[in-house]
Amino acid sequence: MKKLQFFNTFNTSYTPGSFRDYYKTIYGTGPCPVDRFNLLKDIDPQQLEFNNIVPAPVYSLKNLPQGSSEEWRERYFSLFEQVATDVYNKAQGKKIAVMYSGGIDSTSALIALMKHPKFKYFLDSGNFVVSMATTSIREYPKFFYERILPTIPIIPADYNALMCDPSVLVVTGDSGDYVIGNTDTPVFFYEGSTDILYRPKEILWPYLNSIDKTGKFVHFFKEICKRAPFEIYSVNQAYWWIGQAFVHQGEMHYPFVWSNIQDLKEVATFNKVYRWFLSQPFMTFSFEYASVNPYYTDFNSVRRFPKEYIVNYSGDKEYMNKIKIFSQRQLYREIRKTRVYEDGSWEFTLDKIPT
Amino acid sequence: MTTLRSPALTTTTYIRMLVFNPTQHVIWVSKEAYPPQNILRRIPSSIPDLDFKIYHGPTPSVGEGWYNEFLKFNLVKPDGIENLDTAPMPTEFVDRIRLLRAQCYALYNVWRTTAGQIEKMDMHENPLLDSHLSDKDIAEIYQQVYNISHESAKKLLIFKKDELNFRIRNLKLVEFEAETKIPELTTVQEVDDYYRQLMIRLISLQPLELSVVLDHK
Repeated sequence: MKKLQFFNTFNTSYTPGSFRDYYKTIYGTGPCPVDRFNLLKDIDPQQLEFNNIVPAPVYSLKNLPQGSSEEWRERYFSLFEQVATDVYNKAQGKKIAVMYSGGIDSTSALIALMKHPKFKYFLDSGNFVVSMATTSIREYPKFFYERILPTIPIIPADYNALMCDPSVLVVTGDSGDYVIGNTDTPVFFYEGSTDILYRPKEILWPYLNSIDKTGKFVHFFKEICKRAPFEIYSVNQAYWWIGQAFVHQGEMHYPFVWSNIQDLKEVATFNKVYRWFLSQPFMTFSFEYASVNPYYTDFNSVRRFPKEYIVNYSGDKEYMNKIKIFSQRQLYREIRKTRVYEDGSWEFTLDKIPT
Repeated sequence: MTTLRSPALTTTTYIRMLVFNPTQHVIWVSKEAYPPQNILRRIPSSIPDLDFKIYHGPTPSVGEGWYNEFLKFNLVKPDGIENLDTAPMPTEFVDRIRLLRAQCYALYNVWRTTAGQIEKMDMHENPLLDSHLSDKDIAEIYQQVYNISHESAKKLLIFKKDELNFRIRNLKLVEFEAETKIPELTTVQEVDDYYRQLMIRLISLQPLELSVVLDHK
């Protein structure tokens, strides 16, 4: 049986014989993930096995600054220029299309590209566009009307057109939510407060049991935490690890499965789609920073570094109070492929276990 | 004192339906509020072998209720606007009638899903798509409200119109594909598989299961 690289986890059903139905018997009704590190030891590889393509993290856990140190902020800011240089190098002879949602991640990536010395050359030669939706404007109107609209060509976010055009390098801010902590961390009260990120991970168990009363979801969390690259103490670290292990590989495939592109050989590379926050500098930072268990309270607090990076450029101090808007939910997308295999073949099919 | 009340408002039922001609079994129904003026909605009349009929009369009292009988494939529509009846499906037409119902509801649900997308994406009655508005008028409003240059206003207008046209074109293509392909499918399973694939393709969160109208318990 060919190993899977991706399978659609959206709109799957529990029909008998489906992988989703099988998964439920082991880990319950929680989201059924693409397993980047093959951590799900209870899954029979005859039923499902993944070929992992997310770049392996390179990191060292020795001699790191304390979690509250300013050194981490400075280091985080320095990554942007480094990655922008890498993007421009990869884009030689191509047009850069930045997928701009207006959210923190795509805005910070766009700013880094705009600050770079090569920006003007790409812009003036017609090789720099922002691909966006109307809802992208609502996320950060001031930045759009003052910085983007007068300067940069804008086009509707059309994954199909961009992915099928070989002259385009697509740049996305996908996975930025998982560099520091995980913005999917649930919000619930513990001892009268929702500031739970620094609390011991064990406070999650009653919450998870309230979601899945079979105890299988807690079993999933406990098993995963045992296989982290360092001891997981806090809620923040636990969800960071879940994000690392189960989100990235799916996100790497999205532009490919949201379009009719036939050749999938570049899924595993950054030659067609450059995932800003999955680049090695951010990956290294993410693992090393998470290992020192930095102090955070709620999920807005984990967005402090990227917000500060944006404010340093724009000067809009009120941006620090920005709340998260899920503007991407109003982005037009179609799923064109539901499975991708290790050899680059793909299918659009329902959720039966592949045979 | 006697309250004046129109009997039509309280007792009249108005049902549009598609009927399988050889047996008069009702395949698809849509009960409308009365009076039914101004209803302008696509119905799956492109599915072959079906006649369009209307029931208009008192609340029907057939079998265990007209809708239950419909779900059990027993409802038939004889001629006469106030007539409804029940009859078992003839054995030789069971597969054909189930297939037609699956085709009708698959297509109708695709339309409902794309309508939901049109609403979510702010395309329904969006004035930017109104031919009465000129680009010049729109750009002037953008310029004033957003305090941007004339050039920026024109650029924003082009972007927004391109975006709306891109979305509408894609959704209409899905609808067109569905209504071209669904009548060509030959089994209920094929219809259900294709329909479920379309729901995934459209990233639909609407729980529209065909089994509701095919396998009523």
